[in-house]
Amino acid sequence: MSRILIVEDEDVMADMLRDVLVAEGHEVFEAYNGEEGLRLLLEQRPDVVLLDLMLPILDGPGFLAAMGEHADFHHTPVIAMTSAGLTPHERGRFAAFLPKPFKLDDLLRALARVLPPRQ
Amino acid sequence: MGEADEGTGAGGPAHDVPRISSGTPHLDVILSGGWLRGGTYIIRGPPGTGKTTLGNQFCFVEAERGGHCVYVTTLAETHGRMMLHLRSLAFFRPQQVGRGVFYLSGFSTLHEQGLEGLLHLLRQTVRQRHATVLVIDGLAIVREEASAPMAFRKFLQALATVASLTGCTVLLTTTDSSEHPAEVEYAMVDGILALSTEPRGLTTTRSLEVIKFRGSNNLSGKHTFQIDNNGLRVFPRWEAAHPGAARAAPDPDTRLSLGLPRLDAMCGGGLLRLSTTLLLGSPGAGKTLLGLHFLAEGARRGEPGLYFGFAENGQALLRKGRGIGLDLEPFVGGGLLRLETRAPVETLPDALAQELLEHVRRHGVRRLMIDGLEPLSRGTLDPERAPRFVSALFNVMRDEGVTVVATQQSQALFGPELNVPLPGVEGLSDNVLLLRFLELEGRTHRLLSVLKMRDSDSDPHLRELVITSEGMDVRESVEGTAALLTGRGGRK
Repeated sequence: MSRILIVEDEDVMADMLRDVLVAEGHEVFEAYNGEEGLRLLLEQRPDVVLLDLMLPILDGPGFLAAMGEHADFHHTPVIAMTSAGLTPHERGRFAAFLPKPFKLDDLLRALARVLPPRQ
Repeated sequence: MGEADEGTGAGGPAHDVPRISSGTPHLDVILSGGWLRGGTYIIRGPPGTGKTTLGNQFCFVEAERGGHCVYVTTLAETHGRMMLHLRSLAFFRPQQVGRGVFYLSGFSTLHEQGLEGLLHLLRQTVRQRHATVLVIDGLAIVREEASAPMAFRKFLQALATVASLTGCTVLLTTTDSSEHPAEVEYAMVDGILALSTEPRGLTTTRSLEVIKFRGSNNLSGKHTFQIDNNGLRVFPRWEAAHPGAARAAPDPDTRLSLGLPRLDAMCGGGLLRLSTTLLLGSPGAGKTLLGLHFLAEGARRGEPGLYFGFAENGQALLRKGRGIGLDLEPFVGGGLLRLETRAPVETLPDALAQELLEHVRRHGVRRLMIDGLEPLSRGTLDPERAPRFVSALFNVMRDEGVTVVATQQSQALFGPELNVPLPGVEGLSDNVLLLRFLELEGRTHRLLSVLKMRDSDSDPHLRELVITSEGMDVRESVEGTAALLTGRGGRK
């Protein structure tokens, strides 16, 4: 079981991902904006972050920058979920990149690549 | 950035308020220059009428101009699905998503923190992103979450204040279509644009109407629009967009040849430049060929011509010309003659007129043939509009420096009646030439007569138009006969 933080302002999307990942056996935390996401990151210390880039209050790049200020999270993988077009350099900041709309199988495959193997 | 031309509205404060182009072709004409920058507008219409497309088109065009747009959804399709649908549209720029066009969902904030929370989010986001455009897609959901009409009214007022103070233009889309004029939002916003669809026979016509536009004139009434891969394109009601008489007048000192010397002689030496001529006649009487002669003669003299018709395509027209020894191909190849054909059933008259104008301007057209005014009357056009529409079309072409020949088909091949689908057009035309068949002593003849030549001499005689593989010619007047114009004449 892994601890997954979802930071996504579209709550229907966030809720759907949560249900799927809980069914997969993960523990899931949801935030609908970057500021709340940062709070949950510091509080829950997830194994991986699913991050939407276009977020209210604190956007995805802002969240990444704040996350980078904490050494504890330098190795925490972040999977970007976004409609925004990213340059190859921008994509390089993420462990994986899921262009919206994506399929759930794509998400599960990306998670399987970035998460440590289960015991 | 994205400043639209000043509208044609009344003077005073409206001219001091900068405009922002709507990003939708010709919508700015209806809005007399575009939205007022920093204004708040409602776009209302049933689902599927194009509100989301209009809002997104505005954002992407503004982003290309260097603006910053925020698109906030409430409870509609997800952003991912929206991107999927937008991708096929010409205005979509994937590199602008997340940069010039920033998408947010406002629903969770609205649901958890109410209108106050949403307002705080919008205020903050507009300032953070230096937004010049804010679209809220789904105002009906916001209204439902309001605890009372007063709370909704306060929300709209606060939003309008944000817009005004930041210069951010706000569009609010909604499916609410209440006709009640006292609805809260009607009073609180600067304008309302209503989108609708109406069945017309087997097809559907989309139209929009400015219900309210504070501080500015606009083109009232309904205007048609289309949504295709180019996005949303509006076609202002032609006669509303081009009111008034033509500024130019037919030139009495310049005559344009029709390419047939005897026909030119019948018309007092040719058609007056900038005049409009109606070729009225039975099917097969030779209207199209006469018109092609007119265009070919112009091309021979270096005058660009445009054929705009609804039946025969370019290849068919070239064949038709070759059939009478009229070789149009060199003119087409040389760019002096353009042959354009449109499907008659699906053509919106305002779109047609707009396209004609664009062709004329793009190619410097001097001679225009409209082969078939009938398509304009086939169910797509309110019969009461027809004379005003045609009059405005002729006026605009005249002001563009174009001499027009238009054809109208009478319904009957023979007989005294001339049933024309667009009555009154002959009165709008400067010149009217009638072609009709006559059966005389076991042979059919084509009769040509000049019924009307405004401000010009003309030949009062009926003459025979002969069409053979050698060409077209006008023969001597038909002597020794009477009542030929009735279609039932005979020898005296």
